[in-house]
Amino acid sequence: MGTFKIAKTVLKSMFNKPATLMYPVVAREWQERTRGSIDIEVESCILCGICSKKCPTSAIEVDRKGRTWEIQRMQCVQCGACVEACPKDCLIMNPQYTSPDGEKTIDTFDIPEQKKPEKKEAAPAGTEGESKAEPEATEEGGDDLCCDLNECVYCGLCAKECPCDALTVDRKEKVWEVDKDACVKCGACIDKCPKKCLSFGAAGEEKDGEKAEAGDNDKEEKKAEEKPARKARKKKLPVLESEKCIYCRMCENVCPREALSVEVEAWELDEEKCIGCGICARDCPAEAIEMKEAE
Amino acid sequence: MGKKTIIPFGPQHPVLPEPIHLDLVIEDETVVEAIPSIGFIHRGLEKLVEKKDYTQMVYVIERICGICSFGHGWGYCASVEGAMGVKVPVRAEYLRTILHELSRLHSHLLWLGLLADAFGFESLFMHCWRVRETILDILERTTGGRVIFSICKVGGLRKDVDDKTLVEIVNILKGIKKDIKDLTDVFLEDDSVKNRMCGVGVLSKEDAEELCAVGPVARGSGVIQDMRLTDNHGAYKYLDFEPVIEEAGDCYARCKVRIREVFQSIDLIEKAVEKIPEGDVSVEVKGNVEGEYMTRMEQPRGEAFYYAKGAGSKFLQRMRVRTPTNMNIPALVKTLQGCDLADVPILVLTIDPCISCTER
Amino acid sequence: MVERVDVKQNFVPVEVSQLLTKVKDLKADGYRFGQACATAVDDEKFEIIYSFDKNHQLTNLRLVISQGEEIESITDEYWPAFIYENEMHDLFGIKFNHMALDYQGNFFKVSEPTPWNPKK
Repeated sequence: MGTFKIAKTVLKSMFNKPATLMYPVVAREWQERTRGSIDIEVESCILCGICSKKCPTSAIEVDRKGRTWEIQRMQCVQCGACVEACPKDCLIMNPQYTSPDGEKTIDTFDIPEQKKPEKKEAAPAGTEGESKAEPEATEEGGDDLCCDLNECVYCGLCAKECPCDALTVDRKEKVWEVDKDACVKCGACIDKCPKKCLSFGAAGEEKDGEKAEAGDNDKEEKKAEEKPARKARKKKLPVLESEKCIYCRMCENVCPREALSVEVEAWELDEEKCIGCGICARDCPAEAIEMKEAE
Repeated sequence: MGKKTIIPFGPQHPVLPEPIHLDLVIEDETVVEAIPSIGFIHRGLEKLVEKKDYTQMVYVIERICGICSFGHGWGYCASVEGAMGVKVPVRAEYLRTILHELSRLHSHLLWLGLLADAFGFESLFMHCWRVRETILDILERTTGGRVIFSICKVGGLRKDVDDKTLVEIVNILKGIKKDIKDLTDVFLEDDSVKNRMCGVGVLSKEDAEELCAVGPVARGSGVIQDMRLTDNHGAYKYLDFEPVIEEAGDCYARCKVRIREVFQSIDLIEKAVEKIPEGDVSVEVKGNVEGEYMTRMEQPRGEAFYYAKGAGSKFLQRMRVRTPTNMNIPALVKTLQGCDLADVPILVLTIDPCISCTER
Repeated sequence: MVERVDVKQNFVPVEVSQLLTKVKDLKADGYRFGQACATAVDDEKFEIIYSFDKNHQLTNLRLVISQGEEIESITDEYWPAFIYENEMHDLFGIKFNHMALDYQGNFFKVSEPTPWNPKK
């Protein structure tokens, strides 16, 4: 049938602009989403190390003591898992590729100390000037994660959310503990807490008096103190306004204790399981749930 | 009756894109037997599930293959989602379908180029890859990567593609349709090309079924087999999908199946963009993998198996990927028997071998 | 118009002694061989899954064997299974009898024998 069928394409390309670029004279234009290389904003990095845990190729190394953040450029596969995981959004995907190199490069970034206003108030002797000279003091200073145990419902959401498994929550024993060495102060638990009872240092301020007296072995005592106070408060339970309810099962899904079961036209609460955290009321799209004190 | 000679072919050979080794037993110029041998680049990626948790594993599985990377990522996610009982939003299923068809487009255009290269048609090879570049640009714009997309995650997609971009993609595809038509006409109508392919390496329908061939190899022999006909994943059920079937079973038929699939993919993308619903592209996935799930995906090269088995930890116990080339090697060995030595490169290419996939 | 298929998960347990008869039945039924893969369930047990496809429906045979147990090859029924049996032999050290094409442990070029066997 045909010979030299390609003539048309060949002739066309003879008179058209070349399909290739005069690289490197003309630079390639990268797309906005191009995954080229990872950049870091050192100012906002808190050295939490979540990026290094999420990295599938172990290209990132975080040294909390030496305050450095390292990336092995040739090991990195630009998947962007670290950018997504970073709680402080300080990692950025740069559309520019890493330039080729003869040997494997490791980029090291020094992370400067972060200045926090609370630090001054919480640490008794610390001023801004001194805090730099004594990093040890600031590390153990008043910006540790605290929980206001009067408010806490021991729902355990914070422990579930924690990327470093630094939190222990036992509902039966009414224990909320933080492993200070493991905690990286990323703040993920604070965002998730339904009662907003978690904070960095704020709770420490309130309990400054206690802290000074109790010293290091205050954990046990604090528990003993908080327990009766917590018991005295009446438990709040979710109450449904059935006219408003659209039976979307949102509450069933968000309940951290699986205390709710929802079928069409049936909404049931297991009062034994319910801890009164109020997440169901907060997340209800129809605003059909209200938290009321139990009889 | 000539003397039998054994010619070692590969793993390094000018016409071979991939490291497969064949011991060709030839008599005069005719191949009487071929013994395949692979395993030069076994990487043991399946074993990595014990070291990387199931969210990280997506990035590893994607790197099984540079051409069908999206399909591997999707297949892996689909099997883990199945084991965990996660239901992916409809918009994500549509977007996955669109991206999968785009990668099929670029895979088939790449293969057409390689085929042209195998029978020495260099300019055709270059023009195929020129057109493929447009598809890669689209993929880079939507996912951020040219060949490794890293956009699939367990529970949906990591990024949404807005409707405006989708419409633009369709316009770009409509624009290059004519370019592709000009090139595929060369494959289908040029005498010098047809001489090399028509009647070469015939695989009958019975043989294709007996040797369990998959993908375009099976469809080129008239076997109705396409995993896009299964309802378990993707938006194909909404798109009136019909598999492409050719009856002849020779190299020309296999080439024609892929060419028709190129145009079919463009149609599928157009339909999908018309019908795509609004909504989220991912659901939150929590907890560990418990249970097992076997799913299949129609890769550009054919049916691929994904089997995930978890035992209640964040690491899977077993991840199995069976790639299409695995199943096409027996068919290749069969078609090689009785062919001319000069046709061996074309025959190897028409199964679209991806040995790196096969060995993982 | 080709029919669409909703594929169900279908795992059928099978004994070592029944394997060949079962596979023969499937072959006579017109099933196509899909894949075979092994899983090291624990230090002592392997699980082998054979998958078969007919009109896009999937049937999986689940075979549980213990370390060192030898099984019959299915390559007489399905010749393409030689790839999977050699693969399992090289990576897990599972022994198959009467393979149609036996690479004697040279199918994959591995630096140490049976790298995926928990007992190496």
